[in-house]
Amino acid sequence: MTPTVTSFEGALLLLLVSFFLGVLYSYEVRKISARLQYRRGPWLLVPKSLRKTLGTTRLLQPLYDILKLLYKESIIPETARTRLFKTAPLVALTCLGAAAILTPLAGYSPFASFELSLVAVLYLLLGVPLAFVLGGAVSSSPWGVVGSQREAELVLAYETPFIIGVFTVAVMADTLSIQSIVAAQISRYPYLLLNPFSAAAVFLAIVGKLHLKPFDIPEAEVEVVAGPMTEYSGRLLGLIEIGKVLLISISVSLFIDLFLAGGMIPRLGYPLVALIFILEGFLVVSLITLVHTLNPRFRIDQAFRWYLKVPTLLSALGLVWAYSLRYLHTAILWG
Amino acid sequence: MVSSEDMLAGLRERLGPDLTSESKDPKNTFTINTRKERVREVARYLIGEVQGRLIQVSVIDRGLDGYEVVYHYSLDHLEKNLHINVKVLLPADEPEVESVSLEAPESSWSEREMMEFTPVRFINHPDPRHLWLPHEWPNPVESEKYNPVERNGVLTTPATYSKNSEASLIPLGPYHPLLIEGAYFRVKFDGEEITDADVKLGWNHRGIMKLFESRSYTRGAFLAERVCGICNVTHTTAYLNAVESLSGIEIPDRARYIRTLMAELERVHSHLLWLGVAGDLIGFKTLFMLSWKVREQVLDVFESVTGSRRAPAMNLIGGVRKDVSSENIKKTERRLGGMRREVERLVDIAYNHPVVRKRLQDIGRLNLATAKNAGAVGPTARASGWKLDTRSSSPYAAYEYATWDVVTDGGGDAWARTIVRLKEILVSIDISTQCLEALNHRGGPISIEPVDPKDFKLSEALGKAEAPRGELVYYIVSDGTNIPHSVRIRTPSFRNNALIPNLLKGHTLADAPIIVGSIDPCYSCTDRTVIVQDSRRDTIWKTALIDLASVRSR
Amino acid sequence: MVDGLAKLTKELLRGMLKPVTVNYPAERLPDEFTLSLEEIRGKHRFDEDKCVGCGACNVVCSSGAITVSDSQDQRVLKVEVARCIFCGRCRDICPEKGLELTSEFELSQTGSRGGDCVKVEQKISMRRCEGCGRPTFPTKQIDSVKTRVLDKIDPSSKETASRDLEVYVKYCLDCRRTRSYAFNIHPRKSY
Repeated sequence: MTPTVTSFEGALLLLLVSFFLGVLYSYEVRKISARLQYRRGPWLLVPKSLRKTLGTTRLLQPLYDILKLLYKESIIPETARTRLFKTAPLVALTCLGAAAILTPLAGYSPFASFELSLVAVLYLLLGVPLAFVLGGAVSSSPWGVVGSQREAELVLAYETPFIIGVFTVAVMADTLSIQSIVAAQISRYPYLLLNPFSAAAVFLAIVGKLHLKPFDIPEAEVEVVAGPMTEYSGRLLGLIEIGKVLLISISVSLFIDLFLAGGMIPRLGYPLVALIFILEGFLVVSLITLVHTLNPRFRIDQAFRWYLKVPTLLSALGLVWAYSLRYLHTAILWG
Repeated sequence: MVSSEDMLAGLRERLGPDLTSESKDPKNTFTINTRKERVREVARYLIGEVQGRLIQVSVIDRGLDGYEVVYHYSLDHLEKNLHINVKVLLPADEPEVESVSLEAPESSWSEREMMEFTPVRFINHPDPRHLWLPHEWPNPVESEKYNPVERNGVLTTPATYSKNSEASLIPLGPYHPLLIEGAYFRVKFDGEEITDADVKLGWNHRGIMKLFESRSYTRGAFLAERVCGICNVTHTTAYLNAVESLSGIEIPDRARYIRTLMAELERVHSHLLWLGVAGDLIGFKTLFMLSWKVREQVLDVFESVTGSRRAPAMNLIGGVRKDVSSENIKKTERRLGGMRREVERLVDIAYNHPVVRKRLQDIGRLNLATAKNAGAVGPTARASGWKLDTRSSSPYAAYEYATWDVVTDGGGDAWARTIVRLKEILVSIDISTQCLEALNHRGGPISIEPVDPKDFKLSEALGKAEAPRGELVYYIVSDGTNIPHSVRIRTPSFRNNALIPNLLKGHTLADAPIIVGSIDPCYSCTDRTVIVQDSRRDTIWKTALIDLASVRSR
Repeated sequence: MVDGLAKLTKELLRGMLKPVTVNYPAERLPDEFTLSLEEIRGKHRFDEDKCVGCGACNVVCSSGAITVSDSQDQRVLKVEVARCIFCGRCRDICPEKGLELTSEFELSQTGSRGGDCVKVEQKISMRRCEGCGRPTFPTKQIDSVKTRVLDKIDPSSKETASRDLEVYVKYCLDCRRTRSYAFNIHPRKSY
């Protein structure tokens, strides 16, 4: 069935809210990882003596960083392939924008009737590593090439548990539309409780997707300067940073929709549902940040091997668990 | 194990009439003069049979008399403080001598350095390229293999490996986030694996050995402090060991304890800093923050006792400048107790974290034979099972009065180096506590009067100290005035940095940072002289360069 | 493996409430993280009354940061704080304890080199020679030397010394030499 958007203004609003939530999540990663390391992080409440110069709060610091980048000049190396170099961030942004409006946020989705939204989101999210690999390869810098290689390997590693885990949820809810998955959880239990194995596998895959430790291998600054993004600067780098912000927002929203019932606790009115969604988002991000702060970086071959061991096994276990639950359910229902 | 008399007898026997003179100074350093044709035989004997180490090759400009090449051999595994300086005088119009790097690979960098500073040529040196000067400068060794070539109007260095390989070249440096200071590792690799590596230094060259020659001995102590940002106290200690040998004075006991206290606290500081940097190089920013948090406490101790966090300027000729008050002793003892617990917690974290182990074990293995051949020093050598520590083999300050153990580990990989350094922190805290106790009970003066340089007992002296990175050697030649004639410094990183290309081969790019970091390179220590070039142009033509050089030297 | 991670998590969670960094520049260093701020070798401060302008600090300065410039009426001692290496030798050698290193260490500036750099100055008035009019030494240094010599000299020579000193202070070195027989201050007169 062709996807139809119920409201263009709603889709635009959803995109903006998604971006804004992503900014808040980025801030939270910086603040919590700083506090865990005995430092302070960007100010939530600026000290009184500095308020005149800095404002009352630096909560939107990631947004200020992006805005600063957007008005700077982009320097492109002479030997790089300029058209592809400039197109790569746009590819990432388009895919992410489309994925953002397909993922329901606190129960609202302008594509409520689209039955294949889960598959579409999975494909669109693959556009981000594609853009990274492309941008790095054409940037004519040895660091870009090495970074692209690492990105490609890492994607192979984390996509397996991610896809198996996500499809397990689809199997449990018997549908490929994210909105329907949320609805299925509302009537029963959140899938985090029913199938914690798949939840863990998808969580670990998300840590890899977001390039957070221990999997920030493509962007490891002590090894490959900045990986695929080494030669990007100014406006183009700003577009990539917008993409990163959107990516964290979409990943967290996807996780909440698939495993935490999209924040929709039955019988609660709308404003409370939105609040619960945001709270759950912060909780997921704090857990991600804890993993990020606790670990050093893996080497790419170690990361590959680890992903094939722990998360893939967990996701396979989750799949088997889901099928046995279905079998038990039907067995119990029908004798 | 040969005794020192046997060793001398063996030398006399081998050299026969070519041993032109022999002398010994009160600090157990022998000096023998010989002819330039016998240097390789001496090296073969002292290194091959007696298992000594050739710690430095210095060239002293003796004006009209010519150039004096001094080979410093350290034989302190036989007897405490035993050193031999083998001297060869070369005529000023033909300053050539054969290179000993085939017998002693550890001298290859020293000879390259001396070829850049003086007109002495070491013939048959396996790698006579520039060490500090850019490769693009005309190489004094006339050989088409090493001279830069002009391609498309630009002078470029020739590749040191064949052009037929498929591997690609990656520049790790001079600007790279993995390095704290400038250095250039030219790494050739295939996929992610490193097949060949080459190291080029000289970006931090400041002219210090030359600066020493225009400052009095007292000011020299402050200059020595600024060779390195992390090992300030050790540089002053080594320098002052040499100057005090020249003067023939012995510093009072209380000064010895204070010097030891400062040196050991500096070692704690340096190893904690290294732990943070090593954590950062494997991506463990949290360990970086945690270990530097503990490091702040050591810096506070320095600040309250001496007035400055780094470059404490406590050591002066004849002793120390300031006494440690009893109140400060109490505060420091309490601080050290708290720090010991925190360091033990850090050791726990590093030891038990699964990913840290995976990143550090089996990386950059240095076996004992290579370490001995290449002349590794410090924790790098001790982690390969070699019990080499200047504090026990050539003791100075109060190391003979305190009881402590040399820490070694047999692994030879980056993990072993980490463990050695972590254990050394605990040993250093122990020594500091012993020094503080001794200071509590012992009174006395903190310095004695320095001696007028015209009354110096010796005309040259070797001063050694154990820096956090290894053995540091100062060789000072005096001419009776209050300004030294020559100062030659051999820092531990000078030896350890030469190991890096060998350690990198066979590992992946992801391991390169931690391999470089695990030997704790201190590029400020390594490059000690700078030739500031005012390079507004990108390419310097050979003729213009020669003109420029002749203008500057007039 | 899990045990190590659990210990690390506990260590980190302790940091959530008690960071060791401060909100600089809104807050300064809290006391529990510094043992003492008094010892820091910071910016120089000349004591107006105690400094006599002898210039010993200039002689001993390790980096040439302290300069002495004389003009007709005054001697200016200038410390260029940017060149100073904060070794403290100037403070140690000052015979009058007139130069101290305060604990002010925040000396970086955003201005370019030259006029904007932090400098510490001390001006001392010079005594003019009554014979030729050239400046000799700072008045305070002359007074201080007089007091020290008279304090430590052998009592039998004290009277001669105090009489001669009055003549010495009025003239510069060259004028003293030319007038030494006339004023009876020639060094050989005691033979």
